[in-house]
Amino acid sequence: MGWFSSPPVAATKARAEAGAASVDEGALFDEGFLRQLESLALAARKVVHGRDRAERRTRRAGHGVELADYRSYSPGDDYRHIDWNAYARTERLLLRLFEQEEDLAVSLLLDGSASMGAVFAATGGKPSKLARGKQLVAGLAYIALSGLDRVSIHALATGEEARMPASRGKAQIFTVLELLRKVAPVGPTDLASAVARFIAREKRRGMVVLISDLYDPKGVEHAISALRYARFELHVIQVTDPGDLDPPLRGDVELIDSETGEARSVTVTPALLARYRAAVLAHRARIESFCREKHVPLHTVSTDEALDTAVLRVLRRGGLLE
Amino acid sequence: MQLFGYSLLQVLAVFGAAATLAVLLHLLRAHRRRVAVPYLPLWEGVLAQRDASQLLSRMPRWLALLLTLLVLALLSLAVGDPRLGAQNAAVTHRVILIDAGLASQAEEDGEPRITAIKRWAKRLAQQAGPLVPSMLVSVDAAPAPLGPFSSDAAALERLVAEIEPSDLATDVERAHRFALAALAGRNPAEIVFIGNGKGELPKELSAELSRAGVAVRRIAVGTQADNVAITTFAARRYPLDRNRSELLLGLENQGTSAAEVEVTLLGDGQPIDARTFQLGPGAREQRVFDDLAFSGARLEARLEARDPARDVLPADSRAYAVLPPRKKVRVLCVTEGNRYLEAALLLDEYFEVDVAAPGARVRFPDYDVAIFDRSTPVEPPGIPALYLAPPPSEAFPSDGEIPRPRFDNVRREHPILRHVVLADVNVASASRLKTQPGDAVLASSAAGPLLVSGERSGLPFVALTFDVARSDLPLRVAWPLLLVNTLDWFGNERKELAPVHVVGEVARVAVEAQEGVASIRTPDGELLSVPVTEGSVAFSADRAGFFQIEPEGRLVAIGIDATAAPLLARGPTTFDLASLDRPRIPELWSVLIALALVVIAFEWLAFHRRWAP
Repeated sequence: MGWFSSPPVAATKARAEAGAASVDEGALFDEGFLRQLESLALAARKVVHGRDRAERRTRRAGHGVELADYRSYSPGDDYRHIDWNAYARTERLLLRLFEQEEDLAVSLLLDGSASMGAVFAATGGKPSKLARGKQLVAGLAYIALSGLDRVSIHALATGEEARMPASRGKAQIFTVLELLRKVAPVGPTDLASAVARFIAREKRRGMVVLISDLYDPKGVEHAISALRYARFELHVIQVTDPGDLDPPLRGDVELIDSETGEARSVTVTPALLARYRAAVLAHRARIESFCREKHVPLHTVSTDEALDTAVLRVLRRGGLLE
Repeated sequence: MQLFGYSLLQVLAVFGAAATLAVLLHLLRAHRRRVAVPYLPLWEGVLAQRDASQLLSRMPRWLALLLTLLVLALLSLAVGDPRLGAQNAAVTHRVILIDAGLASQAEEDGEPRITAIKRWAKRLAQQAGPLVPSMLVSVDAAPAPLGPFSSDAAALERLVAEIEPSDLATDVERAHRFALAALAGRNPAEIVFIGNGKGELPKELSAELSRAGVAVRRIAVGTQADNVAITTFAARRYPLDRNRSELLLGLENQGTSAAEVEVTLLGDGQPIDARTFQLGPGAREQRVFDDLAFSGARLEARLEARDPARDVLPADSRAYAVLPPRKKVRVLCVTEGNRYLEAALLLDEYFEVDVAAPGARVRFPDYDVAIFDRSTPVEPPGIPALYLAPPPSEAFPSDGEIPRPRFDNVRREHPILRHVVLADVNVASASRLKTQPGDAVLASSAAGPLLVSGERSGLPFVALTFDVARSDLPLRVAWPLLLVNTLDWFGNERKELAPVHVVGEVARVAVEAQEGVASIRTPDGELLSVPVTEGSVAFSADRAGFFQIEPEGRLVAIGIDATAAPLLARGPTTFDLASLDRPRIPELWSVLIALALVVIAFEWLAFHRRWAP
């Protein structure tokens, strides 16, 4: 029988065991991981069929070279874009609109609450959900930076949030890794508040990838809806642990919430475990249903899944890469 | 309610200890293992659903402890074996003496008497209970309790089934004294003896039993008493011809009718003789089976009555004896060469002959007998010796020769001269030996002794005063007879006889080893280990037959002491068993155990929520 361990808020003993059982955080971004990132970038490049760098077209009319549309001239418009040929034919002042070529703003939001750091000792050897989340962030960031996109990273937490402002260039990956190393699982989950702060801070709209276990007592619906209303292209990655679904528990135990420290005495029996499993599946189904309803792609990544497999699967199926 | 197992104090002590342990475990259990989970609200939902659906799941922990203590109380009480309605019932301790001695082997109507005895014993064992705790004692020469006092009738019945009869005569008095000691301090008490009806208890013992308040009952088993027994059976080799032997057989008709019996002698399992005897009522007869040429070791006598009803005890109709083994005689011939001497010594296979030249260095203690041919040793040999024409010496002084002596005087009655004819033996000359005090002249001429026996240095000797090579004695039958008789005569001095052993007595048997452990194979094939002390083993057998000491292979015959066997009882068994019965009282321990199981099941299912809806 194993037991669950969780960082800061949980019992001291449980916290100590968590450290022993989970993968060493320092080893998350070692040389092997960097090689894995490189291969991910190569694989991602194959997926997009050799597209040129930063050639993402936006619907914004801008200063590109390809004609996108026409519209009537309004005072204040740049008269250099007036199509005089059209005026000669139609005697109407029409303004040429061009597709603006610009880089994509990719924001990676990582849930840094305590529940993300919890891992069962009996499932030793696997990374925690936070560790897996960090690896996902690093992988996605590297792929985006390789495509000359602007990448910003935000570790969502109740206190001071670690974040990296929008940056470009492949070399920024080291800044990303340095930032992720500092992220520790702390405090309760409050995605709605954290997302509100992010929206207020991020003026430029773009793609947002929310990476979380989606264990939020207030519900994740508010956070997702807020991002949608702010016109972000949202993707949600739910990080799961096998122990979340089938906790290796049996007998008389006192359950402690890893975030709130709240305790509950219980005798764990197979029947109770079955009920718990059904509750977890219902919780996941509810979130999945909400995301489907709101047309928000939801991806699930398990901690026992290989990182490259997980990233590519998410990229392919989720449309993060075309 | 009365406790028949542990006393009230013991029950309380057991409960106290168990309850303390239970409370400690409860306290340990109350300290639950703390386990952190990522999202408690999911568990809360599950538990809230369960709490709402199961009333029993809300049972507090103190109630669980209470249930545990209740279970322990029930089990502790069960250990006390409480009975209802027994407040005024007196407990009678009973010792059941079961005769498993020699008499119990008597066969009546084709059934051993022990079967009937065990049948009665089982019926008595069935009466055992809280009011009649009973002890079973198997009795033969010594009482052997089969267990302590027990109220478990089934267990006692099983013990009865294991009883096997022995060949030992039953010591009824000793058995009753044992029972009296076992019942000391227990009142009321009773002794029930089941077995041979013959024999009364000594008045002194009866008085002791009466003073102790012990009632004595006897269930006499046995309807027939006619018996013919082999009372004596012994074998020995003839002293002067140890290739032949004789047997002594003693018979006794202990019945009240005349009996015709046939006794068959078996040597190593094969019949070698059979004789028929007519024995009147109470008659005793002894008969010698003489001149038996039997080369084996195991001798057995089997008696069979023409009318089986005249001999109901087969155990004493068989007897066993062992012929003492012939020991090889190691002979040292000190001679410069004497063909006649060496040829004569080849006649007996039990002679192991070594030849040495006079003056050669030899170890005399390695031999049983020495023969000095025309020589004498420098030192006394330390073993019996035959001297042929010894030269004059301190031991055999001579004052000249006797020319052409004749055997004028011969002591034919002497064992050395048995069947030896010397009358017309021609001798060239003989030494005129000067005999010493204590010497016996066995043959002589008018001029002096020719054959002398006596002792030198405390050991026997025989001396022939002439050189056999210068006579015609070697050409006669008398020569080898004289040699063999002489060597046998030396051997007779050691008088090796096989002792007679009987069952129940300690048999001491000499073995070659001085210390260590020897194995004895019983007639049943069982191998016993016995210590060897000072060159002998001591053991006591409880059944007759041949016992073999290994690895030497030496046989020991153990027989039945028929003279000590009790006379068999006669008469139908009449005993009112119901008079010994006691009222039955219901047992509560099984009910208490069942109640405890019910409580355990309830606690398990309810409190631990082990069932899944």
